[in-house]
Amino acid sequence: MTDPHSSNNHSQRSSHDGSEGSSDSRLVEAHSQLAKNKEEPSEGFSSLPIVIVFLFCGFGFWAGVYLTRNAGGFSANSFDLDAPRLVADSGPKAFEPDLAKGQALFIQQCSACHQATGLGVPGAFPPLAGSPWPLGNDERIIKIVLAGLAGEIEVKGTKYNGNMPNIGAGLKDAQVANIVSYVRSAWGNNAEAVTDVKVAEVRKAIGGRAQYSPKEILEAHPLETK
Amino acid sequence: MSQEHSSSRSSVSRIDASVSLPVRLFIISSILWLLVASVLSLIVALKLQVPSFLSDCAWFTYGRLEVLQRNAFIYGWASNALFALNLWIMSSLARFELKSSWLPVLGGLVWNLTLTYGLIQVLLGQLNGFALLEMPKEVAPAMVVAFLFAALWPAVAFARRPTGNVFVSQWYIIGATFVFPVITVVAQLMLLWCPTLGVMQALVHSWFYQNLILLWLGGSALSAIYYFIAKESGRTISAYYLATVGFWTYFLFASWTGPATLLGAPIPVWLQSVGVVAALMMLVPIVITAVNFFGTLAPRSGIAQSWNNTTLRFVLVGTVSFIVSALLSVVFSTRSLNALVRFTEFTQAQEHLAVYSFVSMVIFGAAYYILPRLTGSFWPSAKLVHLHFWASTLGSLLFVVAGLNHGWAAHGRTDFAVSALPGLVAAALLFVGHFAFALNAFGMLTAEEAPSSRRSY
Amino acid sequence: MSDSNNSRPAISGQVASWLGVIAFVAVAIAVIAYAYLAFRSHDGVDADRRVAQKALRADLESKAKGKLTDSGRNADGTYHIPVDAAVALIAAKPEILAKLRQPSTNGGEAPPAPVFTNGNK
Repeated sequence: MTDPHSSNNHSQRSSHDGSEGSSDSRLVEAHSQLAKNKEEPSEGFSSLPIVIVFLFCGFGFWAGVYLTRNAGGFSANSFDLDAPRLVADSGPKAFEPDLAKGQALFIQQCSACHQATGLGVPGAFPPLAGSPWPLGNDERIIKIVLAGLAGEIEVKGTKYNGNMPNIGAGLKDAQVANIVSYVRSAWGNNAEAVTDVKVAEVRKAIGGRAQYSPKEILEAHPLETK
Repeated sequence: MSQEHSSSRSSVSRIDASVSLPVRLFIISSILWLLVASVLSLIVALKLQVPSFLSDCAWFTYGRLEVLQRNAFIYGWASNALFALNLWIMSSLARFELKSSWLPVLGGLVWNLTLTYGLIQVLLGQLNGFALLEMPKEVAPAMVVAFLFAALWPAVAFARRPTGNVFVSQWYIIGATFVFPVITVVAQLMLLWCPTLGVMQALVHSWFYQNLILLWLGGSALSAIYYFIAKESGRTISAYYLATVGFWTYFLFASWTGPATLLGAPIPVWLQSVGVVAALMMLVPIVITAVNFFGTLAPRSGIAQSWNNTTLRFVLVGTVSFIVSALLSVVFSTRSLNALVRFTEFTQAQEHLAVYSFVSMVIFGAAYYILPRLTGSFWPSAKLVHLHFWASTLGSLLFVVAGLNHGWAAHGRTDFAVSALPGLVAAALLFVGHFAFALNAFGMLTAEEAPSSRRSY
Repeated sequence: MSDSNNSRPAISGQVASWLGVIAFVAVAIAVIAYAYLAFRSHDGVDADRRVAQKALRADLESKAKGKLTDSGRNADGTYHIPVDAAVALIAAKPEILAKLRQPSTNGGEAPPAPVFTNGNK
């Protein structure tokens, strides 16, 4: 093995022949000259500057592209790169009615009158189980839930003269869709589920109107079955 | 003037003599802290292997000793040594004769006493939760004041330089010197005295941490690399006109890399992306410094020559480590790769690569150059120098390779059995190396106290 | 070395430069600190909210503790507590164990009241 120590001693001695400061100032001088004259033909590095310039331009270009793609719009509230993509993915996805939520909402909002069994109270509140009203065309029941229904109706041979308030007006589209989907599928009922998009459409179409009368709603959407 | 002394001892130049006292103080205290840190890291590594070792006393639990070791290493060893290096290199380059050396000496004493107090508090269990800011908050102002006394002299030397010419080392020293007090005060203010809320704390801390490692430690060490490569090889830095760009891009991008260490944390995603971009743009200064260093040394078998020179041999290892560590942090700042090694030993190994294999190796090399010129005597034992070099190089290589390998293998697994043995062996090797270094240095410093030629001027 | 010849007045000159550098650093720090503190001053609301949350948490905790003792009381006036708490209690005061055994040895007129039982009896 070579002995660095001996050579180090040598360099120690040689650099101490002159005064330390002057050799350092020579070093500074020489490099100041170098900094001023950029060309170093003797070193053979002539192609270096252009390569480096291209390289750094490449880095800069990449940095710009990366930042525009990954900065989350420079928003202080964007914490996760994947989050906006997930939202975008969920946009066109079909609404899945959640029957459990629908049931919970039904018990909260509707079961006081229509009862949890969906059978209502004969003579006072009409049943939903086996009733033709919530089945068939979904716009009828959505309208009733959103705007309410007041007046005399007949369900399964029993007359009711009720006054249903606009329960759905205070609920979100998805909540109404869940409730309606639940009603249309529970207690032996068998009708298609309802989407929040449909609820939103209906809500927009009817605006902030008053309760329907039975005549009005049946003219628009006659019962499919008796 | 040198002929009179050259028979037994080389002369000490006026400039060296003027800064001799503070530089000596800094180097001696740094070596003492290095020994403390080595013993502690040996104990810490042992505790990883044998968890029950010394675990009965709260003072010697892993959490405290690990903190103690890290702080002793960064603030005790590296910072003290860099005070010495920056002062010495700057006063040499700016032809600065320090007149009132009692001021930096006072600063050095306060710095070390405060550090001792802070570390004792840590041992007693007074810890803050921020890495490298663990010491009680009253320590920080004292350390900043001590820094102003101890370490601003390079800036004074620069301000009073005789000519307008500037060498690249001087920029790096000035940058590092100004970075340290600013980041320390701001981080202490925003984390300990008037804490910010929530995740902002993590952000501020990552900013402080990256600045401390990359700019204060790394910037100072880069200045030493530039200086010693130019000085010891006797060549001018190749492609020197790029060094300016290297300096500015290094300081610009390194200070922004903090958020890249927080990828996936609940901080705004644009900050993370800016951190990633900054980390990748670090390629610019890396390429420039690599061209500067290896363009200077590579032609005319310069590498082989520098391998035979003690200082350059250490500096060479430090330079290679700098480039490897910077490249690693570039590569593993990309989101997909970062997700694999985050929270593993990999980050430990990366940090070790930067703080030890890069900064400390450069400091060792510089110490082998500076101390003989300061004392006017030679290193007592060449064998100990060899021992130090190989123990430090192999030890840190083992530590880094084991850590990287472990981190890489551990990602995504919870059942991974930790083998702390390589770390223990590495710590033991480093301890041996540091002990050899300290023995040599103190041998030299005490031999020089001998009656003969203490007074040079 | 010519620099050192006119260095007699430079003693104060060096220190003056040093003070200048300190002033520079101090101004830089002061600007950042002022910017931070001024920006921060109007979120004292958060400090209030922190205090309020702390009070709320303490309140909830004390209520939860009250509930714990109520539900931990058996009908016969004894308490049931978690097993690890019981073990800790016995470890701290071994004489409890002796007290536990006492009733079972002092005759057979009444079955000893269970001191520690399972929650579900």
